[in-house]
Amino acid sequence: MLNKDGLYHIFVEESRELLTGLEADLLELEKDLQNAETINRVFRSVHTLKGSSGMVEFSVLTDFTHEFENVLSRVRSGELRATQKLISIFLEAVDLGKRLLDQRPDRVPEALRLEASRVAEGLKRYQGIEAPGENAAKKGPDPKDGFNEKYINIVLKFRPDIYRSGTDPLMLLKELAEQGEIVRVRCDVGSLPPLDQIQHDKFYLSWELVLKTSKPLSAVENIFIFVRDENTIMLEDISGRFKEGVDLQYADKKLGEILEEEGIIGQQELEEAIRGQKRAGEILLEKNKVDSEVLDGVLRRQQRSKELSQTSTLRVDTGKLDKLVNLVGEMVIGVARMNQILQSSALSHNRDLNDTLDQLERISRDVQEQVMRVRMIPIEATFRRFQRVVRDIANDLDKKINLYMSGTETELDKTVIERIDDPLKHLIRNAVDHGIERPEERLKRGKPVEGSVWLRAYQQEGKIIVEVEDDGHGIDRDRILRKAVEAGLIAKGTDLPAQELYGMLFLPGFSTAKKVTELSGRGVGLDVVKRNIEALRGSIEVYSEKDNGTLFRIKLPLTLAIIDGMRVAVGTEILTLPLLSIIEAVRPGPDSIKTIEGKGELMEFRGEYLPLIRLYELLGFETAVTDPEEAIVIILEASTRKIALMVDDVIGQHQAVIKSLDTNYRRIEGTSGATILGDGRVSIILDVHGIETLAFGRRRVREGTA
Amino acid sequence: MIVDDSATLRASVNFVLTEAEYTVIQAKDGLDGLAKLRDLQSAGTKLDMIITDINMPNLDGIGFINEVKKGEYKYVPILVLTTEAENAKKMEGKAAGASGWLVKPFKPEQLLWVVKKFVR
Repeated sequence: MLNKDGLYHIFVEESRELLTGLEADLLELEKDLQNAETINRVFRSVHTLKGSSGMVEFSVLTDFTHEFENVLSRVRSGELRATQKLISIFLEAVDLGKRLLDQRPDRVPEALRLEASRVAEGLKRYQGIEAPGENAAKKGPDPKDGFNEKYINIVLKFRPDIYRSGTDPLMLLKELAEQGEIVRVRCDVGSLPPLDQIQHDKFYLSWELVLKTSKPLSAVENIFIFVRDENTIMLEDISGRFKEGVDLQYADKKLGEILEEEGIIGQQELEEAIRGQKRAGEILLEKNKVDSEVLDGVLRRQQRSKELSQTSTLRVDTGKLDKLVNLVGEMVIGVARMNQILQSSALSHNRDLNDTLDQLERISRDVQEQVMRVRMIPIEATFRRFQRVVRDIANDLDKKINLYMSGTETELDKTVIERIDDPLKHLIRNAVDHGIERPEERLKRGKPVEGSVWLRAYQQEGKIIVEVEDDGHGIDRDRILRKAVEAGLIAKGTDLPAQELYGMLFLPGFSTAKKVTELSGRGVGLDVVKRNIEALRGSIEVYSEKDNGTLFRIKLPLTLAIIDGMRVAVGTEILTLPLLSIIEAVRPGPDSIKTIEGKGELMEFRGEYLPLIRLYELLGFETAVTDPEEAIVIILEASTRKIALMVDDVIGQHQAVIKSLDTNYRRIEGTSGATILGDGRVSIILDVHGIETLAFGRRRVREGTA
Repeated sequence: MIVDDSATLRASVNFVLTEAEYTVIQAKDGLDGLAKLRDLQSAGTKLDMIITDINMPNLDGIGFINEVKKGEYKYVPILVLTTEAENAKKMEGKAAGASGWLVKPFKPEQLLWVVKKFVR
C-alpha cells in the first residue's frame, strides 16, 4: 500500500527526472531560441513540477516554480523573448530546484529559503518586461489606479439543471449589473445543442465578463452565495491589469485572442482562422523543398514514434528487483544442480527427463536475462547532464566547445549508471579544461576554433564501452617519461610502450603531481577515476596522439549481478577470478621464477618480471601443488601493475551470479562476493585489487619484522 | 480513471481513492487515457468517473474530453484538474463537457467530496 512517504518518494523521483529533462530542454532552447516545441516542453515540465510540489505541500518549491511558470508562460505566448541571459536564470532555477529536492519540505534550511525567494524575485522581474520590438504600454500593476475602482473578472457557468434549484441566471446578471459597469461581456454558446435538441428546462449558456465597480469584492461575491457551490462561479480582482480603463494585457495578446475575449468572434471562428495558418511541412512542400512522399514517410515515423513512446511504465522499488534478480539466480543454479544430479543417477538415460530439464534450464536462463534487463536503463539522462557541465566550464574558460553524443540509448545497469557519473564528469572536465586548447591557440595550430568533445556509448563483446574523446592537444609523452624518471618509476633512458606510459597517469602519486597537470593537462585525480571504474568491475584505457586529442575508453560489465568468471582450483577449494582482469594463464617453465632479496618471488613473463603470489599461501589453503612448474600461473591486470597468481589448476570459464558476502556473512578482504557452483558448493569470487593489497601489505609487514 | 502527466498527482489520487475502495485506472496523458478507455470498453468495464488534467503532452485534457464525448463513455462524469491560474482552461473543460473541476493542489477530503458527488 502506498503511504505518504511512498508518495513523497514518487514525487522526488519524478521531479528529479523533470528537472533533468528541463535542463536538457533549456540547453536545447539555448541553441534554437525560437523553438516553440521546446518552449512548450519546458513550460509543461515546470507546470507539472509546480502541481506535484503542491500535492506534497512543498511550499518553497511551489512558490518559486509558480514564478518560473509565469515567466515561461510569457515566453510561450511570445510576450517575452527567450535570451541567453534568461536561460541562464532558468538554469539557476533548475539548480535550485535540485537542491531543494534534497531537503524535506518541512525542513528547508533558512539559507536555501532565502535563495529560493531571491531566485523567485529574479524571475518576477521578467514578468513585466516587454519583448523588444513590441510597442507595448508601460506595465506594472497599480492597484490605486482609477479612484478605488476595481476591475473584477467574473466567470459564470451554470449547471444545465439550474432552473430546478429555483435560480434564474438572468436575475443574477441583473443584480451584477447594479454593482457597477460591465465593461466587457462574452457569452459562451458552445454548449448549446442543435435547436431541435434543446430542452426547455435546461440551461446552456455561460459568461465571462469584466465588472468595473467601486464596491468591495465580497459584495459582488455575495450575489452568488447560493449558487457558488453547485455552479462554476469565479471572481478575480484584475484591477492591476487595467490602466485608464484599458486592459494592459492587450499589449501582449494576439489580435485574435482579444477579439475572442471581447466576444466579437467565437472561439470556433478563431480556431478556424488559426487552422488556416500553414504548417512547416506544407510550406516546404509548396516551395518544393521536400518531396511529398518523403514528408509522408517522416510524418508516419513521427506518428509511430509517438505511439511507441506511449508504452506504459511501472515504477518498481529497486530493492524488490534486486531480490528478484537474486532469486532467479538461485533458480538457475538449482536447475543446473538438478541436471548434474540427473546425469550421475540411474535416470541419466531417460530422454524425456533430459529434454524437460534442458528446456527448464533454457527457460530459467531466459527468465534470468529478462530480469537482468529490467534493471537496465539508458545512459541518455547521464549524457544529457554533461551538456550542462561542458557548457558551464567552456563559458567560464572562454572556450568554444561542442559536445557530441552517440549511443545514448545504450542500456546499463542502474547501479552502474549511478556510479559512472562521477568518473565521467571528471574525464569530461579534464577534456574541456585541460585537453582542449584556447581558441587562439587552436587557430594557430590550424584547428577549428570550436573544440569538440565526444561522448559515446556502445555494446561490444558483452561489455558496455563508454568513451570520452577530445580533439585537444593530446598527452605529451616526453613529459610523462621525464616525470616517471623523476619519480623513480623507470630508469633514465628507458622508453615504454604508449599504453604502459599512459597507464602511469592513473598512479595515485603520479597523477597529482602538479607539473604533469600543468603541462600535459591530464591526471588530476585520474587514480580516483580508475578506482571508481574498477569498483564497477570495469577497466579504463587511454589513447592519445600529440596535437590530435585524447581518448579515454571505459569498459563496463553489462550487469553487476553476474560476473564472467574463471574458476580455478586451489587444494580442495574452487575460486572464481573475474575474467576481465585476466591477461593470460601460463605454465611457468624452468628457471622462469627467481627470488630476489626483499622483493619476494618474481616471474619472468614476456621480458617483464612480475611479482608472484602463491594463492594457497596467501589464503592459507592446503595443497599438494607447491612447485610452480606443476602449477598454473595466471597473469592479472592489477591496479598499478601486472601480477602473477599461482593456482593449482584452471577449471574453466563460467557466468556466476554474485552473492554478497557482506549481507550473508561479513566483508572479507580480497573478495568481492561468492557464487554457488552447479554442485551446490560455494566459490569465493576474488577481487584482484584486494589480492594485491593483501599480498603486498603482508609482505611489507613480513619485511618489517624480519 | 485519473489522467495526468504528473506521477505524483496520479499516485495521490490513486492513494486517496483506493483507500475509499474505488478501483483506480491511471493514464499519463490524453492519448494514453483514450487507449485505456478502449481497453476498458473491449473488456466491457463500467467506468464511474474520469478525472483529467488539462495541460498534458501528446493530447491535452480538452482534446481528451472532446474524444471521450464522442465515444462509448460520453456519459461518464468528467472532473477537470486545474490550477488557480487556469480559469480559462476550466471554462474550456466545461465547454468540452466536463462536469466539474478541482483546483490543484487539493486535499484528500476535497477530492473525496467531489468524487462522491458524482459517483453513487
